[in-house]
Amino acid sequence: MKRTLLNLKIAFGSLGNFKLRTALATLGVFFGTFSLVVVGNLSDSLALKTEQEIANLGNNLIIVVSGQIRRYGPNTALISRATNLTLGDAEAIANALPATSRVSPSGFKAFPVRRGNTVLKAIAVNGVTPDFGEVRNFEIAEGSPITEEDDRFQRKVALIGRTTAEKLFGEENPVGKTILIWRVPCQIIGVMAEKGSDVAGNDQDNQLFVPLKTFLRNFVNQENVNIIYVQAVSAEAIDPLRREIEALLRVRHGIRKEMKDDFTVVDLKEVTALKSQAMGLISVLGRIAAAASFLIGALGILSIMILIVNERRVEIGIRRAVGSRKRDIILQFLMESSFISVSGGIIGMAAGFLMSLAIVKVLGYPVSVSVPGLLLAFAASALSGIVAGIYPSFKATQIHPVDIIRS
Amino acid sequence: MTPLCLMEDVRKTFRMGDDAVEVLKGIDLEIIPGEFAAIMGTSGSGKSTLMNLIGCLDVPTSGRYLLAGREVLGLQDDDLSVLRNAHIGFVFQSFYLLPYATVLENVLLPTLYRESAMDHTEERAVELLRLIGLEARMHFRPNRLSGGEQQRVAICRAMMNDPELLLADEPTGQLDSKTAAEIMNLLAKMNERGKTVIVVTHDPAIAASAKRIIRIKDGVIVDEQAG
Ligand SMILES: Nc1ncnc2c1ncn2[C@@H]1O[C@H](COP(=O)(O)OP(=O)(O)O)[C@@H](O)[C@H]1O
Ligand SMILES: [Mg+2]
Repeated sequence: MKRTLLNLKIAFGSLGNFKLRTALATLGVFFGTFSLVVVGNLSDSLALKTEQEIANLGNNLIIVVSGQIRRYGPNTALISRATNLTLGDAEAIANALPATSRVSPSGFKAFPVRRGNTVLKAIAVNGVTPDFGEVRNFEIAEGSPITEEDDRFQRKVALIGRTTAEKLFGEENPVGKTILIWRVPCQIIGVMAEKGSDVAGNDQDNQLFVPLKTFLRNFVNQENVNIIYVQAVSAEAIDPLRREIEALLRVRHGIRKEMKDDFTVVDLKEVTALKSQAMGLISVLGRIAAAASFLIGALGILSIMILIVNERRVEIGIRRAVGSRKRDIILQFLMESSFISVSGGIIGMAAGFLMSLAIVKVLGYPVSVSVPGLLLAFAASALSGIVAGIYPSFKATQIHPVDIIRS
Repeated sequence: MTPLCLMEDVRKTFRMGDDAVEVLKGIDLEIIPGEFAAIMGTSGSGKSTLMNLIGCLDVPTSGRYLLAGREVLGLQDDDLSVLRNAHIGFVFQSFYLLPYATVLENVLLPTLYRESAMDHTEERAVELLRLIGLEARMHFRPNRLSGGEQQRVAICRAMMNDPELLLADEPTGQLDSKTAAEIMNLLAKMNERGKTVIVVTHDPAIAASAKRIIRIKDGVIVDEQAG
């Protein structure tokens, strides 16, 4: 330990003669660890964000929408205007498939909403069952939820989202007030807790919820629904249940083999896949940049170490004379070269860490620290130093004390 | 008494390209523990070459060399390092202190490569520096010391691992005569403390401090006398 400290001190003294070169050499390693840490933390953040978004939609959620969703993309709307699904479909899923824990059919349409002189042109109005909150992870902040009775008696009551409430009521408490949805006066019985935007980026707080039967009778005058939310009993049950639902609905809708479905069972993982793909590309580019930086850094350290070994020929000769073995010399210079690279690497890791925090903050992603990313960065910086030190340290062992004394 | 160094018909040939130069041409030499010997000869006579062989910095081309009873010929590079570290202290004409280490750290250098740990290492180094009167400057860089002071530090470094044999190759070559005398006194003091000391010099005044003078000419020992 003492030996290492003394050797490092001597190395520092000698590096002092090549300050600029040393700084340039460490810069490569700096950028290497910097990009590895940024990329590692960002992809972790994105994965976490995606997970949160999916969980935010509902636990173990399967979404069945009417009609075909042609293309999944970052802005896939998980709602549909088609109405091929029936309440019977929902009941069949609940009764026939034991892997379901809850089924919540839902209708959807945009309507103008008015309160006094304030008119909002198109607010999403959802007809929902009492189960909806459980299935979709919607909570009520104030007031009371929609009950079985509200649905059965088609009561004209509504739950209001935060954003809509602010638009209509400002600071006022909306609970108990009446608003006009399209031409149906509804009493507000509760305000939803804030939910933020969904996977597609829609503000989930700018909508209204009324009992499903009220919605079907008073707003759209039909029996069919746009969407059926199904909660599976467990995360593992999701995939098999999706296939069972597909099979069941094809039979119920009389769809033959060669025909296309008139509904879509949404794969939430696919919805978020595009984002992950983009991040995957950034990760790859970041790693390539990191590899190039490490290579440049290692070459820089290699040239520095050659200079240093040359400058310290006498020191090496004297060390050999007083009894250092070749392996002691090799170890000494490998330590020095890896010390240079690890110093640059640690600064790069710290900078990359701060950078990823800043980016995540700007993007509004959750903070996540990729420990494997940090370890990889550290290992890569140490490794590039060691690799860069191999040739110079072997060069150092070629220095013979007799040659030093003679000159 | 068993000799510390025993050389029999030691030869050293240097090869430079196609030319081979035989610098030592059959050296027979015996150094017994506690001796204070001077190796004298003109420049180029092979003194340093002989010194390097005695100090195991180099190995003979042929002959026999026993150091502390051990055959040196045929030893691996690592074994020679270990041997030097344990048995030999070197003092060179150009001091060769490490510029980026302090005086104390320079003295400690041989302890970094010891096979067995040493008790009170640092106290020992400070004690040696006190002996030469440079204790107060142990945290200085060597370049702040005079030549004579640097050479005294180099002697401390040579003494640090408590070797049997102290080898000094022209230790006063860069010093004025007064300082040179001080250095020779110091070496004599080390000899009194039980070290075997061998000094290489071409200066008769310096050689006069030694108890035994070995003259070398053209690679052979030509004359030996008690000093
Ligand atoms: N490593 C070597 N390679 C070639 N020639 C050498 C080497 N070492 C010494 N010599 C030659 O051997 C001769 C004796 O050198 P040296 O032992 O240094 O003499 P001294 O110390 O007595 O002045 C010189 O001619 C020198 O050039
Ligand atoms: Mg010489």
